[in-house]
Amino acid sequence: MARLRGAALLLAAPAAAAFLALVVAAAVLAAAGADPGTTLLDALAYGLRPETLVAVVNKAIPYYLAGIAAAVGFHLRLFNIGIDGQYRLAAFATAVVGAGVALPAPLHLALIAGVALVAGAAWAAIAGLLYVRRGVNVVISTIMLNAVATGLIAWLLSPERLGRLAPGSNNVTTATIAESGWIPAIPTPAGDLNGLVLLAALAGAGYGFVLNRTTIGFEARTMGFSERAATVAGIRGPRLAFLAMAASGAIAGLVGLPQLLGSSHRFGLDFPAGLAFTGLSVAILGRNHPVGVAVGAFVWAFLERSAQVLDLSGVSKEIVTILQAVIVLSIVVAYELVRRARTRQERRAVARAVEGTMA
Amino acid sequence: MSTPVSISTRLAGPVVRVVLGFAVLSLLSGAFEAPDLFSRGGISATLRFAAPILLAGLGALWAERSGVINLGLEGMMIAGTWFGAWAAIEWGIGPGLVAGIGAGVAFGLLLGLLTVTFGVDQAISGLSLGLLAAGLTRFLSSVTFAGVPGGSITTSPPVPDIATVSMPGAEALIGPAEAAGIPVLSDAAAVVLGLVTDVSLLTIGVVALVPATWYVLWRTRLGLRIRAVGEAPEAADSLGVRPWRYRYLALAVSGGLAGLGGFYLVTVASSLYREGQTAGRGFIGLATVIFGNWNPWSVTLGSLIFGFTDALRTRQEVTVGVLLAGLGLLFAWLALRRGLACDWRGGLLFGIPAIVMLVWFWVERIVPSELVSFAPHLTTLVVLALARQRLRPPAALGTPFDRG
Amino acid sequence: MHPRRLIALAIAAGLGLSACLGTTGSGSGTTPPTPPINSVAVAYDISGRGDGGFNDIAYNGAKQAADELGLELIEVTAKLDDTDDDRAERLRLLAERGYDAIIAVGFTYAVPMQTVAAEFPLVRFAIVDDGTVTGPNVRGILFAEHEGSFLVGAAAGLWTQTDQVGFIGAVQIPLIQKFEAGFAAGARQANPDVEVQATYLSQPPDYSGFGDPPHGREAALGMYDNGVDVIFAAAGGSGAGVHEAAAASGSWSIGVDADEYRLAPEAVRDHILTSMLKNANVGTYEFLVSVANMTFTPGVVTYGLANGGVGYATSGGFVDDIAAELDAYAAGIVAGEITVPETP
Repeated sequence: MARLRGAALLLAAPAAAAFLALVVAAAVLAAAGADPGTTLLDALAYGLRPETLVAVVNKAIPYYLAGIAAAVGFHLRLFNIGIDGQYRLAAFATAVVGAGVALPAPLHLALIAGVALVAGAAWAAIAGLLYVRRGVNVVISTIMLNAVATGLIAWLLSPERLGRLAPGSNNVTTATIAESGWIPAIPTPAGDLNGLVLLAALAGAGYGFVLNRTTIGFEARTMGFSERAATVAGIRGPRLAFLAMAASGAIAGLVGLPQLLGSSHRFGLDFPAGLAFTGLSVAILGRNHPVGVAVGAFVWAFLERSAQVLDLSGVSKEIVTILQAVIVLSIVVAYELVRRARTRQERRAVARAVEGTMA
Repeated sequence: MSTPVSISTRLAGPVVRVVLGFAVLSLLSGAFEAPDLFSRGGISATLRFAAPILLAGLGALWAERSGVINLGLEGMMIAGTWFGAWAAIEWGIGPGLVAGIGAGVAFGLLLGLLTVTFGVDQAISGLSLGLLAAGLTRFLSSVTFAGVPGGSITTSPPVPDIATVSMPGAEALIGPAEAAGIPVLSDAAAVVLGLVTDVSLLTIGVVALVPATWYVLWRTRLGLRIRAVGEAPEAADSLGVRPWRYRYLALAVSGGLAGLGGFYLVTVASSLYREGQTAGRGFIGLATVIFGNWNPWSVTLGSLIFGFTDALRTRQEVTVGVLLAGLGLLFAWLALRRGLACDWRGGLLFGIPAIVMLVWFWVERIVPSELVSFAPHLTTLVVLALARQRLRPPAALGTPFDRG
Repeated sequence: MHPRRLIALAIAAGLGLSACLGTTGSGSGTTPPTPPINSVAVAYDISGRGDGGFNDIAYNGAKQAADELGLELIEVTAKLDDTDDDRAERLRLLAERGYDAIIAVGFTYAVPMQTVAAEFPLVRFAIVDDGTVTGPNVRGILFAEHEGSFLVGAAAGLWTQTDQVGFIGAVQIPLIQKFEAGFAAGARQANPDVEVQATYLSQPPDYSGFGDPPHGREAALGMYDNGVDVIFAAAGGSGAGVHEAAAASGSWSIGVDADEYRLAPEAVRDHILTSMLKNANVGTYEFLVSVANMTFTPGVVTYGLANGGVGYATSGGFVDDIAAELDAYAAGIVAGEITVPETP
């Protein structure tokens, strides 16, 4: 009975968030002069078509990887806003190295993955080192490092250095990776699914395994649960924080691969900034759980995809950003309220039990 | 500590260092033809670049002194830019000022609701507010600015100006020294003139907020209570100071300051609202609080350093090369000191970057504009990494207070 | 309920929904639409229409054609941080919803359009500022910005009193560097003693330089303080700041894309020497008319001085005295006697 109520409470949070988001969406649409009912149904119908769903999953893959990267940091209360710079720098390095060598496919892909992991980890390690050795707040240092990464890439990606400019094109890119370094798409009746979905699944599984089945994962969870307890138990906080930053960066290094290996095969001006906030939000939605983050990434991508239709009905699709913020905020509030409700429930149960023994 | 002697000794060190650093940079700029390093225009641009960061920094200071990390500053600034611009266009500067501050206060109170009342993680709440502000403002632009001439979904029509003033007599008194071309002295005159001529009224107001913040937080009972809540909320609570009340208050002030920073951006630093205008200034303000050791005077210094670098790279890229040389000399000096103290690791830590910077400057003389673009951020990072030893954040920073 | 079954149910519900709402029109039908086109969609990059510059000009051409031909016109705008996939989905959605002609404004749509154009062979596509998209149904609309920039560079070279002219670019990308290359070449051609200072407001993928007037203003003030007296602002919305700075320091600026003398506030317009005109409207208009007349031909069309795609503005009358020289340069470029570099 108590267990059932617990499960109901757990589901109550997302349900409440979804409901609130729906109400806000309807209100904003009405304020913009659109009919909320038909507009939302139209967006939903578009979003749920098989073709769109495949596109949603494709879009969710980098979000998921960014979410896992953020989740790794979250366990130690490290907010890795540098996912942005780490992923772009890693994608850039990967594209340059990947296009510079000719290798048989398995070796080529292994090299590419290796470069991505190392480049992301190395860039994040700077922030990790500054945090551990000099106490520099990770949010601040990673934001600054993002700006540095942007400048470095811009400098290296000029046609005089590592960039290429096709005639008639205005998009400066790196050289193209040879076909041995491509990952083929998975054909489905509703369109091509990016093959890197398997990489995302692998990263998620690896994250779950390390977190739940290894000593270091245990240490991280302990540290996240209670810093004092962890220190008393002899866990070395700084070492753990540094490793978490590096690991977060390594996973962030993978974020660009779906686009790089699955579609564009070169790094260019079209690798967007701003994935760090998406990653953090998605990790929050998924409560750092490998499956939960996947759901979060899917929801995020679904909202953004289905919002495309709004433009056609003359509504700014930026209401999606409002919705995303509302969902994150209401879900964290709801989780907190649920936690309090549970604590109260437990207290009452204990009190009852105690009363029972007294009587 | 309170005797005049000890105060002057305490001040002597930094003053000597600042004067020395200024003289070295001034000579370098003369030698390598980078006249803009200390020019009147450059200094007045520094003020304009520093003021919004200073406001964000002061906002962060209020919040952090009460124990809340305000990662929502960026969002509050965004709200300040949009609502400030919108109201200023509709009704004029005064209402714009009120709306900008008001929007910031509203977001501050929302952050209070989340972190104080609901006890949600401070970082998550703050970052989500940034998301909310970005979405909200673009949506609002689409229903207001998008249809008007000169406006679009990302831009507002022009916002009215704020008047500028000059200190009477300054030009006549110091102007000749600026024009005389004497090494160091003329640069010093230019700095003074940059600070006192053609200054926006709003800038003066912003500068006044620094002593005001210091006075309220350190010299009034209210400030004492806010700081107490940031250090030891349980203890404060047991003495009848209700933490939640003071945290709400501090967050409202924090948001108001950030909102004012947004209003500054749309009026003084430019003359319209533009999406993405805040460009991370809220976060940079947060950084100034950390290396400013949670004290308003150092926060001011931090924002000036950032504003100065930002102004330089925007106005004349060649000056960044000179700045690099100056930084190289500073590092070389630090390396030398470490080396003399037989701290080889420290010597290398400073020595290698010093050599890289000086060699680069010697060979290239200029820094490519792509690399110049992150000069302010790199400066912030270096200052943060060097300045840490004496820092002490409020003890209860980041921890929610559970009323039980 | 089992989660997998839940997802299946959701998909089924979605299918049902889309079935009852139905999809309006179909671009991938088998018969060509008659009359040739009914509707046109314009997809902008993030800054959208209302930028007082390039997007507005591209729109004007499409709007003019739509009015004359009686077409339904819709506009969509990219979101900040869109990926290629997002842009492809946007174009795909427009094609699916039955728009017969789709114009993408900005080279960021190049790769997405390559994919989507192949999926909808009966829809006609045009992309402004890119010449890499190929296909039997795609028109690339390119501009010889360097040629127009050469002329305003020559104007600056002739006009300057201090022999120092400046260039402020929005973002350091090849497209904007084309403006710089032409400007510098023109200035040097007209005035061998001239010194050209150049700067960019932001680095990709940070495109804030297109819309950051305060940055533009400070960069311009820095140049004016250091002896420059004419600045060419190839900086989109940031140009407003450059013109302000010109007025504040009593110097001159040069506008871009549109005739900025006509758009600028009264107080600053008398400091705008001329503007480099990039007549994107010609490109979009001609594309739509060709589709409607069934005379559409695929491939790249470059609009330069020769066919009125670029030029310089004479509003304000400041360049009247040197117009003869500028026109001579223009004739030289058209005749191939002067070659203008495309990279700085």
